[in-house]
Amino acid sequence: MKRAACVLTALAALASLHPAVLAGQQAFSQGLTIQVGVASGLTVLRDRDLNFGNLVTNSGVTTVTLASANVGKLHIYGGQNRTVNITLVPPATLKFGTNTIPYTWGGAYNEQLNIPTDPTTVTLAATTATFRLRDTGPTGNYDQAYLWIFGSVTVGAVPPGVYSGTFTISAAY
Amino acid sequence: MNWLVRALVLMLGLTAAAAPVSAQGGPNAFTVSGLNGLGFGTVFVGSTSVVTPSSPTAALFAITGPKRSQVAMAFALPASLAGAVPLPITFGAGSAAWSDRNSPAGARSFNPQQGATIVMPDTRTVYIWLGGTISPSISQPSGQYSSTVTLSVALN
Repeated sequence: MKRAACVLTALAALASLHPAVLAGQQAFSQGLTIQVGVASGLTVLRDRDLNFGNLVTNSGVTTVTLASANVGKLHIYGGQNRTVNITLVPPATLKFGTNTIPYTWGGAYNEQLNIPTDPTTVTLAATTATFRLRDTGPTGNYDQAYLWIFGSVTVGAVPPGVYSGTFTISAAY
Repeated sequence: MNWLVRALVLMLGLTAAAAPVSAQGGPNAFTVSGLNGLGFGTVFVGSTSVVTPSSPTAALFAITGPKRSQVAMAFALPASLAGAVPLPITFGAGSAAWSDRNSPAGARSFNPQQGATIVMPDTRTVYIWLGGTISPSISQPSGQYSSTVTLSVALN
């Protein structure tokens, strides 16, 4: 009696794995896994710093344009076709210790092309901007947009050193 | 007791995800194998991700059976993927396809909700691809989600 109970239990378990079993048929089942990672984050990645290179004291104005290889570059990626608001906080000056040099800056973005000089690139008019992520990422599951920072420095009679500043760029849906 | 152990071992063998299940060997062998899982990669909330049967990340099964035999296929499809909060998954009328070649190009599509009955080709093997669609809402928690899809085949 105890063995019979075991037999019935085993058969019931096996039958549940074979929804297509019919009398007189050979039937089998095979399972596979479905997997996905869900991401909610909007991410800003720095691809390249804005770099004015090595400059000589009293050299005057040096400009890195939007077309320059030294232009600062970021890309923003997130949900497909999502609208994002970005805010830029530029440094007041470029500093080396207590020494400073003045600079000016500009920014531009492109919603779908990684080409700063393309006619569809939009120049920033303020420290905030709203645009859409429209360039589909390599996996097809997210979109991205591109942002560039360019500018000029004026080097006068300043001590030699590495002068730098930090742009803070934040993004939100 | 020994009999019970044998029964449990058999059950574990049938539930192993990637192990082919077969009735017998030789030209009359009848097997079903799971070759690839269905993968959506990373999907952002608020977006839709569609994996078609021709996608490299579609699920792939293989059935081997006697040539010219009739084989009925039926999927057990999940309604959602398990995770922090169930993530709905849908399967359209063209989310599945089969071919006698291991290439989805030119494969014949079918509705995985309805299954299909096919006649085994002379090559004795057919391949079945399965895609699907997910659309995590803005409020879907981030993280990993998974489930199992099962293909049942019956040799008529």
